[in-house]
Amino acid sequence: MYNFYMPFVSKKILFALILIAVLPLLTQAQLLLPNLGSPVSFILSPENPGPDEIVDVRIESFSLDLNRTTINWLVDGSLFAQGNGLDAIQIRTGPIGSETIVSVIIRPDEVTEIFDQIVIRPTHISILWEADTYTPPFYQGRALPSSNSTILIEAYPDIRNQLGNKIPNNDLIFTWKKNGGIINRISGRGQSSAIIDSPLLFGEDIISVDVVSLDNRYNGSSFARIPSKDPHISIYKDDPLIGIMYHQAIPSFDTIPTSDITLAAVPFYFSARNSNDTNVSYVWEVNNLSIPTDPRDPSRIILRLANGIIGAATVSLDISHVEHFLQSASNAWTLSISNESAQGNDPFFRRTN
Amino acid sequence: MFRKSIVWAVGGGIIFAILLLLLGWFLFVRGQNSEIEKNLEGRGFGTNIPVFEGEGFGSTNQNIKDALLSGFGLFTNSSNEQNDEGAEKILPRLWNPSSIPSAGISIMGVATSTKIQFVERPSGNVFEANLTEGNVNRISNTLIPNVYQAFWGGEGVLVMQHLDENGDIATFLGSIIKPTASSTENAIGTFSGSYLEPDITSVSTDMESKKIFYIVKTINGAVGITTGGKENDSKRIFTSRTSGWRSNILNPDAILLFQNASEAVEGSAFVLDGKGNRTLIKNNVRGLIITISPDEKSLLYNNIVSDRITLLSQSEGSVEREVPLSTFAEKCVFSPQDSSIAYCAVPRGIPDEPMPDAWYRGEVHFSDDWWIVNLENGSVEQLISPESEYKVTIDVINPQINEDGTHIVFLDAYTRTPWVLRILQ
Repeated sequence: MYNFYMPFVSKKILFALILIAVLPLLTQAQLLLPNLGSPVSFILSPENPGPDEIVDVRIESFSLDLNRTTINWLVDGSLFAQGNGLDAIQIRTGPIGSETIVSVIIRPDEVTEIFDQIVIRPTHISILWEADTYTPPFYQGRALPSSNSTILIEAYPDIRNQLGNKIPNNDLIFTWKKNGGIINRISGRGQSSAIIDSPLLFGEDIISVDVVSLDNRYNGSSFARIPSKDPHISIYKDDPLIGIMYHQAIPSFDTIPTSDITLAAVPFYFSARNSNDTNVSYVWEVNNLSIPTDPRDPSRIILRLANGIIGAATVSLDISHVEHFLQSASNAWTLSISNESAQGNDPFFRRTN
Repeated sequence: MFRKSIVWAVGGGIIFAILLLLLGWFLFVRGQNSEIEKNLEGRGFGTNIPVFEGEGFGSTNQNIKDALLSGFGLFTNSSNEQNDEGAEKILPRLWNPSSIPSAGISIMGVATSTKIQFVERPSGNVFEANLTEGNVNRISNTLIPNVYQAFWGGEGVLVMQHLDENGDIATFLGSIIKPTASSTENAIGTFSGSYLEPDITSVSTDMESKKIFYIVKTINGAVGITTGGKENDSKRIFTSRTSGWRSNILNPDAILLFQNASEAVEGSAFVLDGKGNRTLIKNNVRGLIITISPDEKSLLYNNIVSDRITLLSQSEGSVEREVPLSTFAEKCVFSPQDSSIAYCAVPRGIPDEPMPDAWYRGEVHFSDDWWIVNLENGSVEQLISPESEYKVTIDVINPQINEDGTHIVFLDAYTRTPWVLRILQ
């Protein structure tokens, strides 16, 4: 025989347990019910608004003639606007972590009242990227992608709950897309960064990411345009006193005020670890004659006046990547070399007008 | 008698031998001293720096030429007589304290104790000049060849960057130690310290708080570290998958971080607090370069719109507006007294090249004029035109303003020489 007797305390616990079990359902229902089978739908622009941002909130309906209907708009429970056919309003979002509840009450006739609402939770996603290509030390510009290079990309989400606590990346699901198509390989929970291929030659890719919290309450998205650029060659004087003069690229036509000069080439935007990477091949020519280079230091050559005090040299340089044949660049310089110039051997000569 | 003579002869011989030895020792020591003096001289030890009378001479070796141009860069005195030694010296409006490329320049102190320091790029020697006197003195003679960049993290505390034998960036953090035995004020000290992690791609310092922030390139991207310059006080406050960041300590509680810029792509900027919390400042702005005032109330930033470089300003209590000048925000400094006032070096013309890329690659250089920008009402006014007024072209980089707001120091991007601009006429 079963005993159904339960002490008073146990009943309270049972009630509490039932309440705990049912309350989230009720809460969920409270959030979802208005949208279930609702004759109106909300459209936000932008779709995933950020903090302190103007948002267009619009409603659409296939079953109601909104133009002939009185629509009351409430923001956080207070009447915001009302009018016949008023199917859109503009609001400003709060800070990250805030919630703005936008509700509509529609009375299509004297007896029917339709209520629906949307909760706007501003988030922000930044996409940060750079190409895994070579730029010289102390260079302050972006490493740009060239054909067949790779790109390091990272989403930096700022999504906070109502307590203001940042939701960690491991509790977020990242869906990466390239030109609209999902990249499954790099998408998933906590996948905030990835390595992707660069766009094709002369192309541009749009890389986007959708971020959603595990409970679907918070979401955001962002995108970045990533162009493919041509590799670029600049040459610089390697001065024994001050090192490679990265601040003064040698122009196409120049006068070199010394009888000898060491030229250092920089292969901008090649897939290389350094300028003497074995994956990068240099072909130097001076006055159409091929110049052999030090195999350990092929990015440098020395020009020296053999006789006399004045000479001219047409220096050309082809750089190509040994694996990625589309990564190549060439350039040429006409240099007048003179050890009797106005500046003499002073490496610090100044421009004057 | 015979025995006595032998004693005298032996004694005399010994004395003669001793004298001969002493003479030899004296000649040897004199030769060594002479060699040491030659070496010291070769390194520039104790060599005087330009005294701004007549032709200026360089410091380190004979390669250094007098590159000071007439009409500026020379101290004058109050009686307008160059030979009047008793007269008070007056800092020229635009002063080029050295014709040697510098790794960096800084300005410190207030009122009459305002002084500049700069680091010679070939030697890593540190020089100092009081702006009321104009005499440039070497304050450190420790040789660090080919220093590319230098930053000041408090008086006497410096960060110097050069390339190691593999061509990678090496960063040395040290301080100038003056000799204790010497009582002279201008005694030459030594620069002593230790190397930080390799591959530090960005360094920023704050003279006031002595805080140093740097970004290290790692196999997984980059980490940002703050330090007070002492042992075991380093703290990692930033990580990123990308390593191309520039940084600037705005105040002890805020560090500006923005991505390396390019005309072709968009960039973002954040402010980091002391705990590493990021606040987004600008997102996805094409060609973004940004400067924020130390009080964080004003900012200037670039946005490339239809291949046009625009400079935009935001100030507390003012609307965002376009500044009617085309320049890079990194050529601007904010007045320490009023952050709604900025001083900007503005190119007289910008060639039709991808910017700022071509400028960063050293392929393009500008001739800048200095302008005053009022962020409150959007007005601009020219301060000085070095090309028109002094016939010299200066392409300003790394501008810094002193605490009093009276002087701006900067480097010329083309020559890397240090410059001082007196703001008031």
